[in-house]
Amino acid sequence: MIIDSNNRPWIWGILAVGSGSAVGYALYAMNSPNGPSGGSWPGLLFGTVAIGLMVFAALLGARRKYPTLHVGRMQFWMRGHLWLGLLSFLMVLFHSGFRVNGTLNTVLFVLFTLVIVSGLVGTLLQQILPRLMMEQIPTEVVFDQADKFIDQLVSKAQQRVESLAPKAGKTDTEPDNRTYEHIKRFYTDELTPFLRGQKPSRLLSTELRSDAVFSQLRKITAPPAHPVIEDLRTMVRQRRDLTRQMRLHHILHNWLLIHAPLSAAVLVLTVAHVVMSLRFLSGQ
Amino acid sequence: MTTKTLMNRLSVAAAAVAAVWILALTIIGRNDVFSPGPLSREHSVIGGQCQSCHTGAGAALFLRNVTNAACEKCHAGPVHHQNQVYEGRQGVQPPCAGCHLEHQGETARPALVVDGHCTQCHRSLEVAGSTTFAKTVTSFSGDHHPEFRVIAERRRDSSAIKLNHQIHLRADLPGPDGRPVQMQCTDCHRLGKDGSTMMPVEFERDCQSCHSLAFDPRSPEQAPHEDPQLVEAFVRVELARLAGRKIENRTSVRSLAALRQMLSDAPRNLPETLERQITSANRLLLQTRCSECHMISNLSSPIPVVETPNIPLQWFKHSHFGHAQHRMLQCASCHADVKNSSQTEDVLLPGKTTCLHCHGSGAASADCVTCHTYHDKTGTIVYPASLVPGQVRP
Repeated sequence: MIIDSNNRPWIWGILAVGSGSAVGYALYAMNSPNGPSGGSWPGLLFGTVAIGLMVFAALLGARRKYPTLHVGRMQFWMRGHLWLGLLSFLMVLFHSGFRVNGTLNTVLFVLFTLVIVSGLVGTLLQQILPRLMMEQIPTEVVFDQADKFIDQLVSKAQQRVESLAPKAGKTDTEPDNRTYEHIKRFYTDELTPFLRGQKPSRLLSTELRSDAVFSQLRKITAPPAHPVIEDLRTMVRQRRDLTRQMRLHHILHNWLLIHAPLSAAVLVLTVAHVVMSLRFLSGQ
Repeated sequence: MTTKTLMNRLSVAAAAVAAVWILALTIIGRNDVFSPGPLSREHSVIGGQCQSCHTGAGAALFLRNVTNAACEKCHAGPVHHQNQVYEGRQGVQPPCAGCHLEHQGETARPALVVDGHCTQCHRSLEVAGSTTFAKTVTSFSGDHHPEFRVIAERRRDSSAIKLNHQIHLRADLPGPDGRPVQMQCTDCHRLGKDGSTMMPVEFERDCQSCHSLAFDPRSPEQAPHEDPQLVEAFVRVELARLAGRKIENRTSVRSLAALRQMLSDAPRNLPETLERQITSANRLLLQTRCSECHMISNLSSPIPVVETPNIPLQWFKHSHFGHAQHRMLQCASCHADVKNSSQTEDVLLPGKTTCLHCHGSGAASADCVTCHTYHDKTGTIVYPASLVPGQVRP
């Protein structure tokens, strides 16, 4: 989700609520002889609000699962997830009085902090990486169709290479034969494994080496094959772009592999925290 | 496997791990994991037995707060003042757990209540009826705490005793053997076993080596430091013995019981010369020895009256002072005027300003509980049934 001007109401909203809560917290902390505590009524209030916000943030997953539900636009849920999730951390701090004691509470707080940090990292990546992809990868491929795109590249390369095969009945074919064999061998040994991503190619994985390789290929082949070589070179560049795109895509999405599971664990532990806290309410 | 599928599976796994962890802890009874923090060292014996203190009725299994009854199973918590008002009700005090915090870690001490609990009432004291206590106390520093009453009211020591600190601390004071000695405060003032209060000065231990109660050069015995009646009986018995009279049940024991026995056993109606000797020795003893320190009235009568000294054991009625905690200081650091004090009436206690040197600069604690005790423990201790004979259940 890109943070643009549409997020402004949310930002102002959480700044206002956060500031108001901070003032309320300061007053409550100053007037509590023992200092703030999660068991006091203001502490319970902050805790309840925090849980409400956390549950709302967690509902984004459900909302995604049922995209056709008429419960607000996805953008609304995304923004709510980001900003209210962030606000929930502030509420948790006010609830705990900036102190964490006890095993369950410590585990819960550490996990929740990791959820927030991973979420912020993810948000930051979402601001940077899409722009980077647009700048660095001119031929962006739909991620789910990457395999199909690779198949197409391999197939297209094969067609172009086979187009150089000597025609039957043609005289003086020796130069064509040699050119075809060079390119065919290059296609089989280097190009196909590289395009399929079966093995890392030292020759084709960087632009500099790749250019040198294709220049050498041009030198040892007949001029009629040069347009084919240029096409192959373009395909290699597209494959390199795809590799870079996939790497960026993984970075862009893999933070969710930390964020979502930890969020699930936090929700379960929060339920345990609420149940045990209400069971042995300190009464202070 | 796509990122989304992996994420969903990991989420289910993480939630399951968390749930299994909680369930396992619940089943094996590891309540300490759910605790908001370790108990103080004093309460660590309770361990994970939450229900030992969380005995509140609550609703079903919930809202089981810590009740006063649970605390009072082991601790007496007498009311602060009978005329105190809390939340508009007389003689009511806050719940124990309201002031004494637990689950703050092993080194935390629940007995050390923070000032806010005291000042919530003492910042604007409201009592049932009148009070002589300061009505606005917010902290020990500055004007937020009154001067100690004994200093503020310039009270005088009305003890019926004659003591001149100036003479006793003179450098050329003759010692027991006549040679000059320099007395130290600790020669007479000794710490009690509690390490806080000073023990009362005792004649036999602290004074007698210089202030002899000898009454006859023929006798190595000294008169007992007791009531004039007992002194007279002792002198009577001793002089009669020196005159060759046989004394029944004479004992060398100087216990009070033995002296009282002597009161009834002392020979009476002795020859006039001996009676005169006894009267003369007794009077001399009272005039020259006893009256050196004591207020004696009706000195011409056979048994004069020695006023009870009534030396206060504790000057500060509503606070406690630990001399042991201040042992790194010289006595004169606080009791500055002792060397110049020639009057018994001089109250040689330090004022608040002296305390503030350390207790107002952050060098030492200035919390209310440093000097004051909330619960009035001067009354009878109410023991729990388990400690009362005949009430212990089999």
